[in-house]
Amino acid sequence: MATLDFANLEQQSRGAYERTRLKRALRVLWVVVPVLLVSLCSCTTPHLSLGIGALLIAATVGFLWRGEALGRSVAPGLKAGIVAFSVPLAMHMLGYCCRYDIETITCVVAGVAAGAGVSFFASRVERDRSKLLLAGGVIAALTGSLGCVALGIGGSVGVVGGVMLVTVPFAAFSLARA
Amino acid sequence: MDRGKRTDMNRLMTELADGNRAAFHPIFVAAWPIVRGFCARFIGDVIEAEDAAQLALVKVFERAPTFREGSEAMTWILTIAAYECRTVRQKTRRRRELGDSTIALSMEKDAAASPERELIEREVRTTAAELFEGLAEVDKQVILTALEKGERPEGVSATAFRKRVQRAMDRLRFAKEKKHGDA
Repeated sequence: MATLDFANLEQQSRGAYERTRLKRALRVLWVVVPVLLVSLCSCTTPHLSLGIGALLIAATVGFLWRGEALGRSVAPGLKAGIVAFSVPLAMHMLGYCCRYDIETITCVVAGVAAGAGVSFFASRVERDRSKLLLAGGVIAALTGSLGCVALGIGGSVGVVGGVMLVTVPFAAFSLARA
Repeated sequence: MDRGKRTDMNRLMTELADGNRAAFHPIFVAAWPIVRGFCARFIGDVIEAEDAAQLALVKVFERAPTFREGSEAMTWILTIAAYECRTVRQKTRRRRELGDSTIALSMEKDAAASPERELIEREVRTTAAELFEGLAEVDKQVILTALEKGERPEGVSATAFRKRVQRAMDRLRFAKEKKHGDA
C-alpha cells in the first residue's frame, strides 16, 4: 500500500465502511425475494407485483444501508408485513374471501394488525419513535401489499390504508410528545 | 487513553455501527495515532508500520458495521491492527526468503565467477543441500519450480500451487530454524 495522506486514507476508510453497510443491507433480499416470488406466482397482475416488489427492495436495502432508526425499522416492518402478506393470501387461496366477498375488509384488517405490530415494537423504543413508526409502516405496507395484490388493487390499497390507520396517528402522537 | 475517552470511543463506535456517519470523523481522528503507534511498536520498521497502520484502519472501518454494543472499542480496533501487523510481517518475511533464494540461484548462473564468488557459491550450495536434505522430494520440486520457472506446472491450479509452495516453504523454514536455531 502506498503511503496515503490523511484525507485520502479517511476517504478510503469511508468507502470501505459504506461498502460493508451495503453488502450487509443486501442480505435482506433473502427474505424479500421469496416473498416477491410467492406474490408473482399467486397473482394475475405480475407487473403490479414487480412494481411493489421493486419499491420494497429499494426501501429495505436503502433503510438498512442508511441505518439508525430507518435501519432498525426494517425487521419489525418485515415481520408485521409478512403477517399482512400471508393471511389475506391464505384466505384467498382457501376461497374464503371470494365466497363471502370480504377481500378488501380482510386486507384492511391485515393492514391494521401489521400497523399494530409495528406500533407495539416502536412503543418499546425511546429514541426516534416516530421515524421508526413511519419507516416500519412503509415496509409493512409494501410487504402486505404484495400479498393483497392477488385480491386486486383494492386489496393493496386496503392494506396500505390499514397500516396507515394505526401508524400515522401513533407517529404524530409520539412527535407531539417529543 | 483515559477512561472517559474510552467510554466516548465505545459510544461513538456503537453509533457508527448503527449507521451514524457523524461518528466517523471523530473515531478516525482518535484512532489513527493510536493505531500508528501500536503498529510501529509491533513491527519496528517505520515504513512497514505505516503501511500496516493504513491497512488496519481501513479494515477497522470496513468492519465497523459489525461492532457490537458493549464491546471495548479500543481493544477491538487494536485486535484488528495486530492481525494486520502480523500479516504484513509475514508477507515481508516471505518476500525476504524468496529474495534470498533467488539471489542464491542467480549466483549459480553467473558464468564468470571469481574464486571468492566460487567459494560463496559452494557454501550456499552446501547449505541449500543440507537444508533440502530433510525435505521431501515433492517439496524440493515445488520450491525449485517456483524459484526457477516462476510458474506452476500444468494441471495444477494457481491456488493449489500457491498452497504447495507455502507448505514447502514452511517446512524449509522449520528445517532452517532447527539447524541454525534462529527465529
